[in-house]
Amino acid sequence: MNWPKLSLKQLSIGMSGMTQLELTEEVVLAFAAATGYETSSGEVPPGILSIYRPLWEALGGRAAEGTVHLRQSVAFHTPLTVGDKLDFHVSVQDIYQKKERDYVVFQVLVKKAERLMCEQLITYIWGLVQTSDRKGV
Amino acid sequence: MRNRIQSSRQITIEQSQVNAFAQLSGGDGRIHTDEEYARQSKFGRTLVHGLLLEILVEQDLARQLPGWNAHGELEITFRAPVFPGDPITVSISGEPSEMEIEVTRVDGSIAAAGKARVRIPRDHHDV
Repeated sequence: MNWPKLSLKQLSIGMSGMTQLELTEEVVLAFAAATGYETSSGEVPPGILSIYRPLWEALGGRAAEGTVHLRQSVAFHTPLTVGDKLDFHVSVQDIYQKKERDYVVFQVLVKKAERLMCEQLITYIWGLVQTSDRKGV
Repeated sequence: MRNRIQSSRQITIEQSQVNAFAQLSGGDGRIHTDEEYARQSKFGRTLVHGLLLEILVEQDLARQLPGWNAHGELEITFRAPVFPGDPITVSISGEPSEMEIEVTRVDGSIAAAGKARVRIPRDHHDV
């Protein structure tokens, strides 16, 4: 997927979006293969909810090039099952600067119908990593 | 009843796994997958996703803590880069109500650290 890269100026506190993800067997097996996660038959690793894809889809764009993942907190509320159709509700909770770095905090609430499955807070340092031939974000 | 848990394992994440995770997860930033791009950055090499480290930690927590999938909580901070091909050690220790997490690089420095626990089940209302 070629999501546009979001600059810091395109983000604002309160900005939000939603997307959906179905936990098909194919998706679960691909996750297990990519992460080396060993699961028993029918089990869905809850870490599958932490992938970036739903975040980018909900926002309509992805992190600026060079963005670094600083911190993640996650709380699981309900075990996942193959076939679950999940809604990812994403919102920008905070944007702040510290020591000349730009920090963005996202909240992600994952729901199945109206049942809360998982909640996450994700902190990124936006556009931190520069290369010698980049002019900056 | 006290139930102390201690688990430690060494892992090496290769670039092929980073690439597979990038494609699956949508974390396909060039710092993870483009070696030429990464060479020009301050890191000099591609980086393993912090999220992939977290998932490896979660795998160990799920193995050791009954109820993790339904009541687990984790907070992790990524402190130093992990490079593909470099061994790391994933360690978890403590009791189900308060676990310490550490991902250590081969030089002993801490790549990631945090805490985890399994909440005591309680009635919760749909949000």
